[in-house]
Amino acid sequence: MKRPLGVILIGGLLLLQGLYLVAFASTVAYFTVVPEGRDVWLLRALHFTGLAAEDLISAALVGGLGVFIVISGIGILRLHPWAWLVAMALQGWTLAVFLLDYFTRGQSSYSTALLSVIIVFYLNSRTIRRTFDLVRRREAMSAGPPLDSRNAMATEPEIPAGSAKSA
Amino acid sequence: MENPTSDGRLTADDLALLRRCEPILCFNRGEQFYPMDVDRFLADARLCIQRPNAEAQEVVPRGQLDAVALGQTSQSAVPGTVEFLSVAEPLTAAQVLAFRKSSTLKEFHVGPGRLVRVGLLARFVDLLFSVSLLLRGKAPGGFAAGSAVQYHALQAQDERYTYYGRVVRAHGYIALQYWFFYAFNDWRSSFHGVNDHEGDWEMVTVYAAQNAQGAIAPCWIACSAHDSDGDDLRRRWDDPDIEWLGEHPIIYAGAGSHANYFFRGEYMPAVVVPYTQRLAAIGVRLRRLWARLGQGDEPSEREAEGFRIPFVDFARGDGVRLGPSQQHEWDARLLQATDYTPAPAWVDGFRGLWGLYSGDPLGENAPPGPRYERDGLQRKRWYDPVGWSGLDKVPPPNRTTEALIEQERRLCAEHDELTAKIEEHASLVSGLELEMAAMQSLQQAGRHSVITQQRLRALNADLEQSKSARAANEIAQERCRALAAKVAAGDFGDPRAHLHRPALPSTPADVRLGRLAAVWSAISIGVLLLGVAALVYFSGYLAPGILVLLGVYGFFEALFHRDVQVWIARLVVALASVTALLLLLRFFQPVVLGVVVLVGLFIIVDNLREVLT
Repeated sequence: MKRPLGVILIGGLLLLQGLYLVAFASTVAYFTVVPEGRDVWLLRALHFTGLAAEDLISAALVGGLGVFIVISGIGILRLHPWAWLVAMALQGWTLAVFLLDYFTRGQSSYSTALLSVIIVFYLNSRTIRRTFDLVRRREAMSAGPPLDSRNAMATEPEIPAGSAKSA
Repeated sequence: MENPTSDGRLTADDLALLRRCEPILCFNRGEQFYPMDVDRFLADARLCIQRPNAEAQEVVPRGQLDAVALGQTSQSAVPGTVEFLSVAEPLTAAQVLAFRKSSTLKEFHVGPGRLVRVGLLARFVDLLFSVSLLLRGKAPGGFAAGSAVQYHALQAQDERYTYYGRVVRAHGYIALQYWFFYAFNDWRSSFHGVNDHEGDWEMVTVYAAQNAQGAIAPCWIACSAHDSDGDDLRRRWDDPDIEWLGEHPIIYAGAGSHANYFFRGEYMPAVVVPYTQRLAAIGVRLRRLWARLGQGDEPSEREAEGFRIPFVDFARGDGVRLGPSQQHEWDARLLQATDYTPAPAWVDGFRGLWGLYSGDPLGENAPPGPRYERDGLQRKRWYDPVGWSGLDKVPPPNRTTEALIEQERRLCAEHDELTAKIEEHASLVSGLELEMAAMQSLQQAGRHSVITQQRLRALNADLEQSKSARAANEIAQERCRALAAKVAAGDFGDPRAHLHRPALPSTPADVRLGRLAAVWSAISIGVLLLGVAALVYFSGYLAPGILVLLGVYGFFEALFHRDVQVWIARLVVALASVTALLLLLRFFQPVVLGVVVLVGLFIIVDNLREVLT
């Protein structure tokens, strides 16, 4: 199936985002390991998708997330159904963090939220779901197995023993 | 219609055909009631009358009622008055307990049950539905058990399994109706179903017709199931899914509900909750809007009918079987007269209910007899047994070729009409073209030319439409001829082509949902309510707390129903919607300004494009 432009854009964006996070986490990890790097104030200020990359554990988490996003970006570009789900879940995470920040601190990254909203509605559109083969799979799931196998579920009824009674 | 009421006399051939195609009814283990004759029911019944805003009155006491007397009861002239029979005497709680211990009910095992197979919302509405039983009129507790005790006593004296036959000739078919009367429908109290009511009439129809060899043979079959009608009720004789024993169709009766099904299994008929139509219609309108925005799927028309609660109707067929060559054979009775016997008087004469009138608007009242609806008008399945299952659109096998030839003749006539119209319009078009060419040299012909051009355009469009219709007509003729050839060779096409939403049993995956899922389903609503109560009492964040609680519940539901993907997608779309709303509120002025600027730019570009071209 032909890859829509929006899918290429989203796939590309996810790749960029993932690679950025991997690079960012690697940088943090490097500066955290190198003693003089701990005082780089800029690292403390940087936040992405709710994870503050201030220490090694956070850096590892952000790096892992980055790898995950890179994989989902590749999946999106190759139109794999699982990649659609992963991309949606990632946007869900971003939106949840945005809403949490918004309601607790009263402010958040509006541009990130706007981008996520656009990506979610685009991925959820019928055309894109069809591109990822999700509509057909869903219909097949709700239709259930063929009738023959439905009948196979019941045990063969036993005819109770007893004498036949004429009408 | 050749024989629409019980006035038509049955011939010996009709009787023989009825016996030839008798269905085999398969029941569940634990079933308490089987088809019986109405005479024994009436012998123990009293006739009562319920006038509006008054207590029910006994009109004919117990022991004085029979089939003849029932047919002679006069209809009350007071609107809203209901006549009904009453037989069963409710048992006490202790007697019910003793009955359950001793009866065959204990042979029935519910399995994973319906709660595990339906969604959280449906379970919640079901809770309200069950609570509403306390407020609604209903069949009293212990009533079903009382009726079962009485029925078993009758069977112990004289074991009989009865159907009431009826034969109607219409649209080239012979509709053989087999009506079954049950003393009680104990679906709710014995099998976790929707309702209980005294008296129950169900029906199976076998449609016979002349085959290509001129012999009468069964060709379709239809089952009554929960008051539905239409194409989905019937199956063709050569449908490979249908089971037969010779010419006897095998039908599976729902436990307690006695609804008839073609396949053994566990069905999930849905009951529309009354008064929810308006809410459902709003939901459907919102979903249509959502679908128009390219999101989600278009909702079906059925969804606008109201909120539905699914119930399980067990038609496993693992119990008693009634019918030819089975454990118990049929005791055949008739609803029509023969040369030797009159039609039962109650068929036409009694318009009341065949059991207790509880005053419940939601299905706990007894049903009327085979002929009448509750409002006293005739049932469709009675006055139009062929149209009831949508078969009036389908010619019988021996008339199919004839019907195709007739259709081809109609298409030929239409083809000739279209050809004449095309020739006429083509001639008009060429005349107008020539007129336009002739007028071109005349300087004053401006207005005339515009009018001629308009006429020409309209005629050309008409001409194209006629040509396209003629081309389609030619294809239709070819297809009719091809179909006629197939039919002549005995090929009537896909036997399931007429089905839209047939009743099918649950899938094995649904039935085998795990024990953990069953436990979750049983406790989830109660725990949810406890959770809400705890939030109200302990937490200051009620609204977010409830949202999180519902989210967690949704996740578990999705997990048990193997639907996590849909749950994630819905959750993310909900988050995106809330975020979009917040962004809109936060940046309302810039958004409005942006929209105004975009619209302005669009208008400028559009107008400039028109001017420049």
